[in-house]
Amino acid sequence: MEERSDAELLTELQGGAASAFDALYQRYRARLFSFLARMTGRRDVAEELLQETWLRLATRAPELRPGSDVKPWLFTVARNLATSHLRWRLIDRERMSRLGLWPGHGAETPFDTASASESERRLEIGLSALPPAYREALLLVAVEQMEPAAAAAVIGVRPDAFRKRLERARALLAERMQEGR
Amino acid sequence: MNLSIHDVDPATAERIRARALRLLERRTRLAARPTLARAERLWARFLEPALVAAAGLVYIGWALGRVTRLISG
Repeated sequence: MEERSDAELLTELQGGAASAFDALYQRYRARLFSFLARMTGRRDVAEELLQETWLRLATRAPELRPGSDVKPWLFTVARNLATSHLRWRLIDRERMSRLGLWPGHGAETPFDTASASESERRLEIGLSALPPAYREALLLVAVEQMEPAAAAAVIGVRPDAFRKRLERARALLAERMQEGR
Repeated sequence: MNLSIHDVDPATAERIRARALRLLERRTRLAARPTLARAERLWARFLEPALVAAAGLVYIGWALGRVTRLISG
């Protein structure tokens, strides 16, 4: 069966189709959760914000322009929720690194459990050490494969400012990963 | 950038889905009945906050009265 586009699913969702919600949920749940977990550094908070993101889609879908792109909308909501959370709660980075981001493999640190390889482990650590503004830029472009213009819209900055931020984020991450060697 | 995508556990995923679908179903039901939707909006935006504020004021008035009576013996 041909996969329905986001725009088609949104139109169905605006009509109240639960199957359209399920399809979008299936498509973006894990991606949003990973984004939120990396932004907040906490699995429990990421789960809460993930729930809030989907509840907003369920209630506000009719307000969206028909045919508009759902992915940037979802990431904008998730990003704004994560930013509010970070604004109100300064997380002790040391404590954060001791808390489990991903459950279940019996490894010593959350990053060990999260990382399939040494380079991924270094990447996770480097990312978690970046200021949120740089982290979100990298996550949207490099992990979510968004176009810089779309990612700039999600974050709410001008494309040229976003490009500068992205460059700086890449440089900082490279520095952090060098330090972590 | 090669980073793994991680998911929530199935029970959490199902809980979130069920809550969202309940909201979606409610919203769809209300959309089909505009009068009910207007009443719901009126209740949520004005009546409920006004009632909560009134209850709070009554309680504060009562508490201040009690404290005043206690202090004045």
